[in-house]
Amino acid sequence: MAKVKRQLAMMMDLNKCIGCQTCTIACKRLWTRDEGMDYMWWNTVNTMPGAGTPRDWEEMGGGFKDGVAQAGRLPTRREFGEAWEFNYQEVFYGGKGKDTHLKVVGDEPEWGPNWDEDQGAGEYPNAYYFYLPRICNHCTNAACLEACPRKAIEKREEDGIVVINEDRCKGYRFCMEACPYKKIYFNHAKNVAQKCIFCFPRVEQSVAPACARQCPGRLRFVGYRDDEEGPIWKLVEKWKVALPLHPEYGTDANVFYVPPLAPARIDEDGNFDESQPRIPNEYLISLFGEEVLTSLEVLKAEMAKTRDGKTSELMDILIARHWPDMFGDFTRDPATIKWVEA
Amino acid sequence: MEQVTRRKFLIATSTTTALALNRLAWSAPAATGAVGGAKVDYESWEDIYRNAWSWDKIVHSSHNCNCNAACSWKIYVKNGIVWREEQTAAYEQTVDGLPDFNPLGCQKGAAYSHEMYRPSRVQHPLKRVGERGSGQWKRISWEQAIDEIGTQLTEVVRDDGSDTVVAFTATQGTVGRDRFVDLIGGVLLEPFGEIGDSFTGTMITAGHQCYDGGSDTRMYSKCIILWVYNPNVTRIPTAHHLNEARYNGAKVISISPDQNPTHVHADLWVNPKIGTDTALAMAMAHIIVRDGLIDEAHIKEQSDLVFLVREDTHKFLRAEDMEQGGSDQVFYVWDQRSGAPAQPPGCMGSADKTLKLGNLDPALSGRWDVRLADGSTVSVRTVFDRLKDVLAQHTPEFAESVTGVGTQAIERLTREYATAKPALIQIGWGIGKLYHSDLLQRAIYLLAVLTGNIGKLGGGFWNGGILINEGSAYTPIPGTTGSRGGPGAPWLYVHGGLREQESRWVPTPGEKSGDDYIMEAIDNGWMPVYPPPGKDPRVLIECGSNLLRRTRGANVVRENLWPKLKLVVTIDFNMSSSARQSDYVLPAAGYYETEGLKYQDTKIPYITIKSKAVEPVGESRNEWATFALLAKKIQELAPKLGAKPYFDDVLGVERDPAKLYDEFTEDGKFPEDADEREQLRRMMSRTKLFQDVTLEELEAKGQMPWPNEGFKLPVGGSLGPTSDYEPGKPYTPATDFTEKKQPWFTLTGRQQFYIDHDWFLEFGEELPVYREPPKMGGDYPLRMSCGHARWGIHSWLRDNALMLRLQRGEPIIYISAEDAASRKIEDNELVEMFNDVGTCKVRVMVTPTIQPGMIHLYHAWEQFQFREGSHNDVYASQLKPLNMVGNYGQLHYKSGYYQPNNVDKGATIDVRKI
Repeated sequence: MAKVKRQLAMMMDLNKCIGCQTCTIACKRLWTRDEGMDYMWWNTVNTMPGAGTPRDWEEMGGGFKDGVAQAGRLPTRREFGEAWEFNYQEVFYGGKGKDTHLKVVGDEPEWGPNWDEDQGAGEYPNAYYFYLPRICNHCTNAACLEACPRKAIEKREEDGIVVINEDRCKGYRFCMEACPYKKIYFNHAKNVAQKCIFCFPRVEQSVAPACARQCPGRLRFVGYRDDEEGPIWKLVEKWKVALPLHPEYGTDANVFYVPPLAPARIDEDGNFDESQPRIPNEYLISLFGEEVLTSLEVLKAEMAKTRDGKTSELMDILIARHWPDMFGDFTRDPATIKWVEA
Repeated sequence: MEQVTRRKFLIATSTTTALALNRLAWSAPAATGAVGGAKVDYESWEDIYRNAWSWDKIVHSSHNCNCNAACSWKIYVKNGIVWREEQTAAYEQTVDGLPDFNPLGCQKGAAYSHEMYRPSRVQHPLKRVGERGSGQWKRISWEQAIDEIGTQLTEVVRDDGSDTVVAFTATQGTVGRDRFVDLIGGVLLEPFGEIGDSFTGTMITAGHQCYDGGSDTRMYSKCIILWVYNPNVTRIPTAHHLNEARYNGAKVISISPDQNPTHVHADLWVNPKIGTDTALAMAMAHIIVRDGLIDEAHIKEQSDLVFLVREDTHKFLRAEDMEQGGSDQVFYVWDQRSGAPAQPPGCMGSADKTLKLGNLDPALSGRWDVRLADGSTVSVRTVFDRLKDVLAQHTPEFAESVTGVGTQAIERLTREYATAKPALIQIGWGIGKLYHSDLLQRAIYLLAVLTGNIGKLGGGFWNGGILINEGSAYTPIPGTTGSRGGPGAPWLYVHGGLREQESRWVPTPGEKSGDDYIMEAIDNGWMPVYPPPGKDPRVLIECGSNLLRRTRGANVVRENLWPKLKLVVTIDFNMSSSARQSDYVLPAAGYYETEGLKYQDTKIPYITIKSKAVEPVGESRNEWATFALLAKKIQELAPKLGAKPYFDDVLGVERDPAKLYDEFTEDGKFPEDADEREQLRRMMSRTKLFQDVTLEELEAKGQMPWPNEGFKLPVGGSLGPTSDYEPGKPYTPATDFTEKKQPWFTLTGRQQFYIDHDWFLEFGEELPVYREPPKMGGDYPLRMSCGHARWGIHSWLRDNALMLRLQRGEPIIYISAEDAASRKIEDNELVEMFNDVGTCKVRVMVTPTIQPGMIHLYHAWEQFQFREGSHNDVYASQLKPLNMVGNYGQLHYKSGYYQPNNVDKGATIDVRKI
């Protein structure tokens, strides 16, 4: 396991995520616009339950069990979803009138990175869903790093960001098999694996990652895990409301989530049924482990306090009245940087 | 000065340097190295990423896309092109203790740099060389385009009259277009009802359409009901305040038939069948009155519920009944102190313009006999008692039978709402798209008045707020003649060929048909239509408008209106549905290519500058230049072609086409190549909003908080704020009435629930009441629900590749698992959607989140995104006659005021396997 001096982390509050995908677009416009990167979405938001991206990624294996690396399957480009191109020129200027319509060039799409958006599970009126944003988990025990025969994957000593050294990478893709979260993409043009870099160029200048700083829902907290004054430590260590996704994958992820609440169920007579939660506990346990139940209890207890007019440190942190407080040491406005030619 | 020793150096201001050093001291070694100037390997793969995140300059701008948000963005320019954008995110908290507005933005704003450089963008003037809609174009020069269009315009003005030149304002204001159409004497149709946005019920009740408080003030609320409102999709920049309010102790309740993305973060979700919400609201009012949960003081001072109504005529008791020569706009309450009827102040006809009751103590309930001026005696009762009669029919049991919501749920919902102080109900723009939208709004509004939440911080009844500044941000130069305007929906009824379709399912109480009522309203001049019925429009200028995408029944409009048009010109940056059916398409400069301001909504108390970051792409021009060039051409041609001066009898002015350019440019002061920043300065000088700020300061900051002066419209405006704004204090609407005691803009001067207009009495809608939605579309088992999309602002970005890749690449409709199974339809299958109006082929998403019996669709797909037909082919919009009344107190037409909606929600429909 790589030793790091400090570990950067992100905490996402699923009760504030509205599925708007501004994070997804922010990342896309900043990092994945070059050749070979068109189909990549280093940041994704999926409706859960759902097959997500790549399709059925939770069933593809990888990670560790009892410290032993598990076999994983290489996700295909189609499972991630192709970067569809459209026949704009033909429709707008091709002289075909109503004989054509805007469509994907080539095969009809069968899957995409957000294909099952808002689809949900269960039965009306007690169906359920929520939004799950995902980036690379920058794991403490990164399966990708372990799997790379080229030692091209590094965990940065100074901040624990996991990066793929593109100079060393030869495109073997073992990392993609090993990553249980399936957050690594393959660049077919450059023949290298690529993934979320936790915006290290921004972080190096004390600017929060784009997905966090551009998030209109204000659900992404950023900071060092050992900063006891910062929001991450308080939410993860002190209040224990924020949990890693699929802890059983054994990689010790450094992205945490406040698990989702949902509205009361509705019974056969059209009345509220609060005898059981709308999102089944078993499902949440399958995502976040048994601790999720305690986390939800803490959350509900603190929400009850503010309803009674009392104060709650936890609610105050999650509300984040002063937005920069969400970003620990990374509150710098990028516009204060001026680049000049050397 | 900080330095980064790679290819570029880093400079920061002294304050940020101090801050940055402070942080970097215990930050990453690489960064520390950067500050210290240590050498970094230029050749590493990491430097590729570091160098990617660099730029030459930053410009503050925004997007004029009618999203009602006012997000300031920093536009990062590199090598002369816009590289990307990121939110300015420099908003201070408006009030200590409230979450700030940062970062304010959405995924669409973050994708505009992609959209503006799409290869399929219209970049050159185009002339149609095939049939309309054939997609056969020839690239022509600007000179040729202006020459040909100018010639045809001059000929039409000469031969057919200027009132046959028409433009829709739609949802994008543009200075050049409005000024040009005004000055040429054309018709500028307003969009409010045409797009289904008119808050008819709010207008009926308050004489005002739009009011919202500051988004952040929801933190003061203890209960928030979201009703026909889906902010997690439609209000992305400010939705966070809702979730924060919930963490702060507010109970959040979402009311919608489907499990929409907003219900996800609600505490309670209530699911009436589509179109039945009024029954639910009335049952809530029933319980509130039954259980005495009412605020008597608010009701007596701020509503007409204490006013007296004659039992014989069902009309208000008026001063003209009681005294010779008395006003028909002064009314009575029963004063308990004197035991006699008394005139309250503040009615539309009252001399005393206040709501202060003084010594009056109006009775809430009772029946009395009063002696009229003619000596006869009539019985009178209060509106409140008449309301109780109506509420008696709207029991929780009745509501359960209609809505499917259980009685216990209705009781619980009502208790949560009526006992929370303060409690807020927010409705969205979708509400206007229901046929009986006015009744639903009146019923919901009633709840807020009964419980006394109006004008309360953190409480009230909010709908979509629009704020139009004094001085109108749209028109930088004074001296226009005003518009020959008119409401869009009646115009399309007359000229767009929608008459038959839009009256087909209009329910009426007697012999008279829906069309009889509608045409009577038009003939009475209640809803002005130019050119008048019988005279055909000849030119359509589409600029900031996309009629054939937008209009419910667009195919009917194209078949009926288009043949009448000698000339159709579209000015746009995209090949929109309307552009495809045009004779000429002129390329418009994009949002980052022109100077401007972003108008704002009361929810977001900031003013945003939209500066020019780069030169217009291709041969595109800003609209001012385009219209100035057209004006110049018409001025040049008018004498040659014999377009003579004439008297415009509608607006009472002399018009001379040979002076059009001089008038348009204010005698050459603002020509086609006018300095845009000078135009902006002129615009800013026309309102007090900017008296404490210069253009340069605004450009440097990107946005500024509202000042406390300069945004109020004259009294009676229907869109502006209804409270003073004071920086540092939370903004609450309606305090002009509740605190300053100014009369409401209604006949009674109160929030008015009783409308004694003959038509309202005929229809039995003098008070809010539940009415079954008409089967518009025919006898089909499903009903359609529609709404604004997450993935576009109207049609803007609806066909953008990045947006489509995060959907399914083409339009879809949502159908319940149950209805799909019974039709043997599977997820993503291509199906036919049909009713008596038309058919459309579209893919389905099968989901358990949709209520059986309905289908849902998100609007604004372009027609050309469908394989066959489009959503517009199955919309079955009907005009509601009561929304065309024009001779009653607050019920009359003017721009942005009372008018009927085009509607789509609740249309009947079915879906079949192909």
